[in-house]
Amino acid sequence: MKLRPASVAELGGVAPIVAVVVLVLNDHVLKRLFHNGVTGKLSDLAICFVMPLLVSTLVGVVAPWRVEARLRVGAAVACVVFASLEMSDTAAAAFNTALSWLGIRHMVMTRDPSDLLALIMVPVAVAYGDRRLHRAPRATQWAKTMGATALSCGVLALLATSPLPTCDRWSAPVIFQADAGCGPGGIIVVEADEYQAFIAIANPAALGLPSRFPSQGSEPTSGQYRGTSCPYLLAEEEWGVTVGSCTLSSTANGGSTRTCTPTYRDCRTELGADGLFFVCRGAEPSDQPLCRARLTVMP
Amino acid sequence: MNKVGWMRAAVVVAWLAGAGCDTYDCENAESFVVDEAGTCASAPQQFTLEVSSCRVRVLADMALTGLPATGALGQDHRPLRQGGFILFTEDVAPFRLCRARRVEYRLELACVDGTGAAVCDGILTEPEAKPE
Repeated sequence: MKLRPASVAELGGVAPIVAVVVLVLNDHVLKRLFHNGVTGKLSDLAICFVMPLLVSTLVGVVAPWRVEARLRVGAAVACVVFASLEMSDTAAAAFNTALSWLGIRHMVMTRDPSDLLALIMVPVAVAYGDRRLHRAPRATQWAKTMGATALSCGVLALLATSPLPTCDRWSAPVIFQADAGCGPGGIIVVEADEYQAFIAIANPAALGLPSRFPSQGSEPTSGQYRGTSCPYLLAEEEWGVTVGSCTLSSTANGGSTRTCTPTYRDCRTELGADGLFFVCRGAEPSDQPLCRARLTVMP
Repeated sequence: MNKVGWMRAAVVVAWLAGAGCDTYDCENAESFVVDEAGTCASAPQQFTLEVSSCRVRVLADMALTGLPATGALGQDHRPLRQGGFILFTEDVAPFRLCRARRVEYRLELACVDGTGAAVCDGILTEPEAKPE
């Protein structure tokens, strides 16, 4: 097969390189620092701009297609891939399986239909590609070098778009026998995700927690591993969960008051000489524990 | 770019790939078909058992298999056929937890409910290869 490296120069412009830098910076730095709606959308916008140009360039390297046709193929591929990954669990699972074959860890997919608004960047990318090629058709050595850099970094950034993990080693779920105390007791399975160490509990009702954990809504529940080990040591180090929420509001005399939802609880594990306990307290830090339940690791 | 340039680019890409693919130690992926017998399923079933990034999935309807659809490998993340993994219901009530262990040529699943009481046992075997 005859390769056409001159096509790589198409990615050598400022806009594709800036988009790749934004993608890498956002996925690996900004999301970790801020983790808000802006960082959530920024990567989607960058992906929808970069992907059509990358696909167009890759097609151009291996096939003698006209650039207009390649850009439209790139746009179609970007729309199909992005929309299916955003909307379909099956597509996301297949993509993660393919990534694992390539030796790349799985992506964290967040389902949000509003992410599809980022597809507006696809026609922008096509317009940019058309305009740039008609304005600067020469493939200089500089453009090729910058294009090759954008191509390699862009492909890797698209494949591994996810935040840096808190712990990059597998931390298996831990099975506990929870004694009665905070709930009726029973078997629970606790795990923390590798990215932000957020806790998930299966059968949380055994600890008197809402039946789905974590959850959103009027009584949100969340939890996090607070230890320092990697892999996580859920049976030996602290992890905690919160049920409900509190808000701070200003008072007339310049102070502030803390108002919590009626069922607010702050629970955490405490390791003592007599074992590991799940201890819950109310809204006031000085409150006596509301409940205490022993956790025993199941082999 | 000439050949030397392409070779340099390939080295850069390989280096970047090494940097991008971090040391996450759970990149296993395998799947195979199993026959299910035992008391969890009301009738013998056949389904695909799959693991990807240490997450285990049963590609079948839980109502038929009696087994939770998802689970995870143990800390030693040994191959799926060696057992040592668990299946458990996450959001679906009622809670069920199945622990898999390898016994001779089969995987035995011991399942308990939310109180820890045994509810059923499953036996998973790979279908014998059919002669061509």
